[in-house]
Amino acid sequence: MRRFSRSGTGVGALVVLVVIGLSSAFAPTLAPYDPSRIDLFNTLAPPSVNHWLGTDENGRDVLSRLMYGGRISLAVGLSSMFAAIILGSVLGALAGFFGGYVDSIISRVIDGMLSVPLFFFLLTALALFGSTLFNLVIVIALTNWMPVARIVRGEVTVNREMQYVESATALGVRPLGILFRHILPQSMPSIIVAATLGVAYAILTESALSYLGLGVRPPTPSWGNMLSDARGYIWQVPMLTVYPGAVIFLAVLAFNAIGDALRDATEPT
Amino acid sequence: MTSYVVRRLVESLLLVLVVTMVTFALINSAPGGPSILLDPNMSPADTARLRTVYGLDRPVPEQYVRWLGQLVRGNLGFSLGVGRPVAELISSALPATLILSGSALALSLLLAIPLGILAAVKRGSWFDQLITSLSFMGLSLPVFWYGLMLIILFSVLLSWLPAGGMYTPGNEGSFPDLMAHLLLPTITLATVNLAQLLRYTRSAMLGVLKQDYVRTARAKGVHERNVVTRHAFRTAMIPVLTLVGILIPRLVGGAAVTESVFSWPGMGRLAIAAAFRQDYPTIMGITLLVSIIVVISNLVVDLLYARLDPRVTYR
Repeated sequence: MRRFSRSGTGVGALVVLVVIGLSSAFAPTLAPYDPSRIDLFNTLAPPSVNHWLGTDENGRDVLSRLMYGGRISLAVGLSSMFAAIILGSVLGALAGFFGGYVDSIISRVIDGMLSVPLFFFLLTALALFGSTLFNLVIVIALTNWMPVARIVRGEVTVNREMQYVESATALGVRPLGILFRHILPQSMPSIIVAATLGVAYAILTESALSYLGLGVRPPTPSWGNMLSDARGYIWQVPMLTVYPGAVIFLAVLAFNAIGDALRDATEPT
Repeated sequence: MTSYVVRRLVESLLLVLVVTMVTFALINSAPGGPSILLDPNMSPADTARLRTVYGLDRPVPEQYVRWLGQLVRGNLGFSLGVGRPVAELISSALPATLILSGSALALSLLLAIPLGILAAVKRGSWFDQLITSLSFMGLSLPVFWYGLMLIILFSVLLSWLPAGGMYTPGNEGSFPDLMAHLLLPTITLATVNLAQLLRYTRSAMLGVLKQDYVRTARAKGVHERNVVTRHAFRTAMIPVLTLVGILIPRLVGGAAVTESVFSWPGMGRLAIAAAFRQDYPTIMGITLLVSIIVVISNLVVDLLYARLDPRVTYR
C-alpha cells in the first residue's frame, strides 16, 4: 500500500475514479435533473447555468445523464469483472493444481479463445439472446476470464510445490481445501491487478456494444448509448459526442493506471 | 518442419470447426430461433412448412452436418432477410475489410517498430517518456469515440476529409477518393494497435539490450547503430511478432466497430447487420471466414519464428 501511494499517477487515477464513482453512486441526490425528463422546448441547448453541459436532442440534461449512465457502465464493468475473476481463478487454479489432462484441456480452451475474434461472439450472443443487463454482464465475463486464468495457473503451478502444501497434506487437508484455502489466496495480489485491468476492458466493451445498439438499451442511459444517440447530431452539436467518450476514456485510463501502479507496488523489484 | 506444419494445419482446422460448432449451437439455443419464423402474420401451417423447407425441424447436430456438407460444396446458404447468397454478400464486403485492416496493421507496425526501438535506446529521455505515456493512453482509448473525435476534427470542423463511406457516390473505383475515405478509419484502427505494439517493442528492445551478446558486440567495437539495428533488432522482433499474432483477432473485432463508425462497407458492418436481423446463415458464414483468416495468420506468425529465431526448432 505504501508503495502504491508513492506512485503519483496511481493516486491521481484513484482520485479521478473516486470522483466518477461517487457522482455515479449518488446520482439520485447529486444530479441536477431527472435523466429522462424530456424538454422539447429546450433541445440541443448549449451549456448554460441551468444545464452545465447543455441538453441532448430530447432536451434531457447531459450532465445528469452522464451521472446516471455511469451507474450502469460501472455496474456492468464491475460485475462482469467479478464473474470473470471467479471463473478465471477457479479454472486457472484447477489447471495449475492438477496438471495433466485437466491442465491441457483448460489451457487449450484458453489458447483457443484468445485466438478467435470474440467480438463477433459478443455481437451474435447479444443479438440472439437480447441485451439485458444480465446477459451483457455474462457475455463480457465469458470473453474476459482468460488472462486471469493464465496468471492464476502460472502461480498455482509454482505454489503447489511449496512446503506448506506438503504439511497441509500431512495434516489431512483435502486437496481442494488446500487449493482454495491455502494456495489460491497467495495469488490475490496478481488477481487484484488483473481485476483492475479487467474492469477497464469490460467498460470499453460495454460502451462499444452499447454504441452499436447491442448493449444497454435506451432510454436507460449508459455512456455508450449516449454516444450512439449523439452520433446523429455530430454536425450540429459535436460537443454532445465529446462528453460521454471523454468520461469513458478517463474511467478506463484510471483503472489501467491503478492496475499498473498496483502491479509495480506488488511485484518485488 | 513439414510434420509441424501438417499438425498445426490440423489443429487450426479443428479450432475452426469448434468455433463454427459453438456458433451454430449458440444460434440454435437462442429463444425464438431464426427470425424468419418470427413473422407474426404467418399462419402456424406456413411456419411449419418453412421449418421443413429450411430443415429446421431436424435435430441440431443433423442441421450442423448438413451445413458442413453444403460448405464442402462451396455453398454457404442464402441470407435470411436480404435474399442473396451468403457467399456473394461476404465476397462483396471482404475486400473493404482487408484494405482497412491491412493498412491499419501496416501503419501501426511502420510507426511502432522504429519509435519503440528509439524509445528503448533513449531510455528515460523525454522522448521515451512521451512515447510511454502516449501508448499508455492509447490503450485506454475507446476506439469508436476516437474515430468520432477524428470525424469532428477533420470532417466537421476542418472539412478536410469525408466522414464516412468508401467512395463519394458517382466516384467508385477512384484511387485518390478511396485514399481520402480510408485515412481516418485507418488512423483510428491503427492507433489502438500502435499503442500495444509500441509498449511491446520498447520493452522487448530493453530486454535484449541488456543481454551479454549485445555487450560482447559493443566490446568488440561494433558501432552502436549496428548493435541496435543488426544484433539486437532481430531478437527483439520475436516477442513483437507474438503480439502481432494476438492482435490479429482483436484487429478484426476493432475493425467491426471502426467500420460501423465510418460506415465502411466491410465484414464488420455486415456482421452487425446480420446479428440484428438474426440472419443465421450470414452469421455462420462470417464466423467461418473470419476464424479461418485469423487461424491462418496465427500459423504464418508461428512459422515466421523459425526465420527470425534460430533457437526455435519445430517438432
